[in-house]
Amino acid sequence: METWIASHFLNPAFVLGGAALVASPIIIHLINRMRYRRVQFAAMEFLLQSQRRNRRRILIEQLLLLLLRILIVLGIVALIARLVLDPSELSLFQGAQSHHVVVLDDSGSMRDQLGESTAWDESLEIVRKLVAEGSRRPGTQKFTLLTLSNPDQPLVTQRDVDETFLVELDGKLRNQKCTHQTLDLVKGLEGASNVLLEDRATVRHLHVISDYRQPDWQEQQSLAQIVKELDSAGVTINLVKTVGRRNGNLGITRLTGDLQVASVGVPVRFSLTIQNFSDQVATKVPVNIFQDGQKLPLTINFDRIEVGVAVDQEFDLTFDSPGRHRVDLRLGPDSLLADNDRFISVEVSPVNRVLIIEGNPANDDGEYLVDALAADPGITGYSAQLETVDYLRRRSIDEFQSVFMLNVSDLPADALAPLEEYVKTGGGLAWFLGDEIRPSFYISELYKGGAGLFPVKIGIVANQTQSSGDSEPDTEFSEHPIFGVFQGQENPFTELTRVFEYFPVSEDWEFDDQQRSDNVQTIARLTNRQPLAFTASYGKGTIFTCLTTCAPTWNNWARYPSFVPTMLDLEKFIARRDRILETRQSGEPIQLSLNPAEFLDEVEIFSPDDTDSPTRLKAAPANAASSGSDGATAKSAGTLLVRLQATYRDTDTPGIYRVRLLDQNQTPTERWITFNVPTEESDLSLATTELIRKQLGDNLEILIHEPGEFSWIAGRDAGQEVRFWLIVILFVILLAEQLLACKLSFHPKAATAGSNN
Amino acid sequence: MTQGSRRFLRPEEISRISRLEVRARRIVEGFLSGLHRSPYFGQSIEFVQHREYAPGDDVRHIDWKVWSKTDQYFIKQYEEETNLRTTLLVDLSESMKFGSGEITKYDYGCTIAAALTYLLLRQQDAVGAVTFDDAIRSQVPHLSKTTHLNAVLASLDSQKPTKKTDIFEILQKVAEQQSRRGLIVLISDLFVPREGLFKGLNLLRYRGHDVLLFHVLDDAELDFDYSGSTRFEGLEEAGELVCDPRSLREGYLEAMNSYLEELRRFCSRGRIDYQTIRTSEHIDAVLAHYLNHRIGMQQSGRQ
Repeated sequence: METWIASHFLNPAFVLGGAALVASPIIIHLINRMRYRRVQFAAMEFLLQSQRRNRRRILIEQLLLLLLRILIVLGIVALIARLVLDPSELSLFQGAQSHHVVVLDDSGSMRDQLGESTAWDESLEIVRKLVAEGSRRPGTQKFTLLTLSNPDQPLVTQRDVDETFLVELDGKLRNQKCTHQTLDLVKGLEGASNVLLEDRATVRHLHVISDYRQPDWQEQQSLAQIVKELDSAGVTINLVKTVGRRNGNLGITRLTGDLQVASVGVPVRFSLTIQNFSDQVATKVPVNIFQDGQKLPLTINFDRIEVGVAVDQEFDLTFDSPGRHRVDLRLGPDSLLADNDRFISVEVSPVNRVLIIEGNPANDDGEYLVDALAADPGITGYSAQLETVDYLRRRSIDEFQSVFMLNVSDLPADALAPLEEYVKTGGGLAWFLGDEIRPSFYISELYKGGAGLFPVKIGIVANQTQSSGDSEPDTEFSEHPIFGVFQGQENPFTELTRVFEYFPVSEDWEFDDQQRSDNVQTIARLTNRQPLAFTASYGKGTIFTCLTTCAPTWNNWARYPSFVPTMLDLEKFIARRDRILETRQSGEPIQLSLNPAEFLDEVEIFSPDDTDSPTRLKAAPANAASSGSDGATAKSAGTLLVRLQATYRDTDTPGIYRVRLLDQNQTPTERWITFNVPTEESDLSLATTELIRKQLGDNLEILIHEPGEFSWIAGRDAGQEVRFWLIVILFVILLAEQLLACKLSFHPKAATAGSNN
Repeated sequence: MTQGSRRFLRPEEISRISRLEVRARRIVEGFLSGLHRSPYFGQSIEFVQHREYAPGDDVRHIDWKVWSKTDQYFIKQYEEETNLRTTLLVDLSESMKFGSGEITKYDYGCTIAAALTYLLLRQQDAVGAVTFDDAIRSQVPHLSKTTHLNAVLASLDSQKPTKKTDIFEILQKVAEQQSRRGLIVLISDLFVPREGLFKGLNLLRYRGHDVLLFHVLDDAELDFDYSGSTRFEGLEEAGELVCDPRSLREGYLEAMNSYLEELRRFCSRGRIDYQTIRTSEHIDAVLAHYLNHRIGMQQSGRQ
């Protein structure tokens, strides 16, 4: 009964009291029967006669009058208690024992500015209103609040809604921050679905409060599936919008640089991309540059950025000191502030070391390369070291940015192994051939059917090219960063560069990259269509292969100025990148795996905001519970050590996080990790109600509420039609009651006469 | 005239009634002058009976001879002052004490009786009065002296309505006592058994009496303008009823009017003057209506 009342009345508290009022006409009637005046009367004979004759009529009339008056009371009660015939129109908080699950979108786009507040503030306000409405009916409502950033651990789980909870929740919401991350609405709904489908004893409502951006509602089949399941399970679904119109936004979507070769005093090329997410053209957009927190007297200006277009610009920064430096770029304020800043951290070396292995030191192959890379290390930032193959056998090559192999005939196994390991772990490798090489070794030991360090299968004998004349170029360079100097129409360097001899690829090796579909890319060919240069990857490393010599023996390349920038670009391309300071998206956890032989288990993490008060973590052995016996075994064996693991998840704030570790000598070492906001959150275009319905299915009963509309919370609009008809019916009943009462009552003629006078 | 008896004949009532005197005299003088056929023609003065002296009686009528023998005062009743002998029958039953306004039906009936007495005595007619309920409670002999008014008023004033009415027995007794034909004026609310009433009235008519019926009713009885839940407690043990009077009004008025109509038809058939009187009406209006009616009857009788 209570459920029925609660589901059919906006103010159910009035219903029972009002129903009791139904007895009032009866009670008044009975009281009137008990409270009467006494009259001594003489003509009782006629009165009794009238009473005998009219007893049935009087009874019927009195009952009819009583019924009309009861109906009037019922009508008034229905009006005050606000009868609603269709419970689906009702306020969310009408159902007895209702469970409200709110999914709060706390993705980065919710930071969208809406005047004085943000979309996030609006969503919190909606939550407050929901709970405030629910607290008016204590004991009947349960509330669960979860965020997209943590859908498996609700902020509030099935709490009874009352005034105390309202105050408590308000405190929690004040401390709740909107993230900078791109979050998955599907996971949020799955979390909500788990909560709702477990609870079968209550009337269930799901409220999804979000800005409903268009990018989130493209081809969301899984989302539609979850919503369909919830709808078929009888869950009322409310999609609550917080943003009414699309706001303009510019965002820095990319900031990269040649960080792998950053060295002191050498300009480092950075590349910046700004995208216009507005529906209007942006003009004269300045970007300020901050280096190590200091604003540089350098501003990058974008004159015009068309709607939806991303525009790149490059700029150079020079670092005066080795070590780590932070660079951040800042756009002027707009609707979404978070994507106006972008950070990058740079590890600046005093000099970048390059190892050049010569197959025959008697040749001058290496000298040309050394001159190209490090004629003046102060200008290029490189320090080239010429060695023979034996160096690979005797010394560690990890400290080199890259290794150039020039006309090396073959490699002993103890030289090949460290070289393979070096490239696999990220080191750069460049092959130049020559008359010294043993093709059979290259095929069998280096190519190894495509699994070795040498990416192509070469022929046994070197070929000589047919001269095509001085005016015709005999090499075609693809658009590749290495051959930037050869780009452009009628490039003189292209015409001047001649290849006289080269090792052809084996005939059974597929020329066409697409047909071959491995990770080898042909970046230069001879005019006879024979491949000349390739890039490939091996492990984490990058390999460049040139089928001719480095020195101007099989070609004239090194004799022209184009050789220097090409080699510099080559070095930049293959230089190891595993030591570039890491850049991630906001929210990704920092997971540390430490070698206990090298580091202590104490970890300090400095977030961008808290430079002075780090968060201290204690790294624990991996799989501590299960690996106890394994670890003991390993330790007893003395061969294996369980690595120490630590995870830091509070990485939402964009910026540079410093992870400080202590080695066994208590010497601190730092790792820098840069976190930037995901670019996916910059697009603030909104999904229309039609699009949402189309994605979810038109036949589902989903309520989509526009921003600023809160009447659905209290159900103020419910029952308008019933109210109108109630008033009409009440008026008719009142009229009938008056007419009947007038008919049954006595009106002295004297009064009428008097009024006529 | 005692102070109590004054309430039936207040100065303003006397003043109003005096204006009727001319018309009343005309009726009476018509009887005397022989212009009309009088029912009382040929009667003479003769001794009738002795009656015990009652306060207010004229001491000149005391029969001293009887006093000398019995040492008790008796009045000799033998004189006849006029040929119109009027007997006022005033209902003293409990129902007559009902009154929704300032005045009860009994008071009003007594006022009518007093006014008629005054009027008739002023015209030298003999007036006698009888009050009754289930039996005759007082009886004043017929006299035509002006001072007889006191005796009539004293008789009316000394009674209180308490009991039920046995109208047939009363009328039967009156008919037996009034051997000489005259005018019988019955002042009552007539809440009596109809059969007895009609039989009694017929009996009076058989005896040759001219009967005049003043049906005194209160406004509340005629209009029944009660409202609100009311417990009606019947006078003369007529039962009681709790009801909403508005719902019964229509039926009540129907029953009441049916009764009045029955009375009117009966009186019309029996040549009985019948007049329904509201206690809210002025007494002079009642009497004027009556006298006009009498004139009409006399004229129709002469034709």
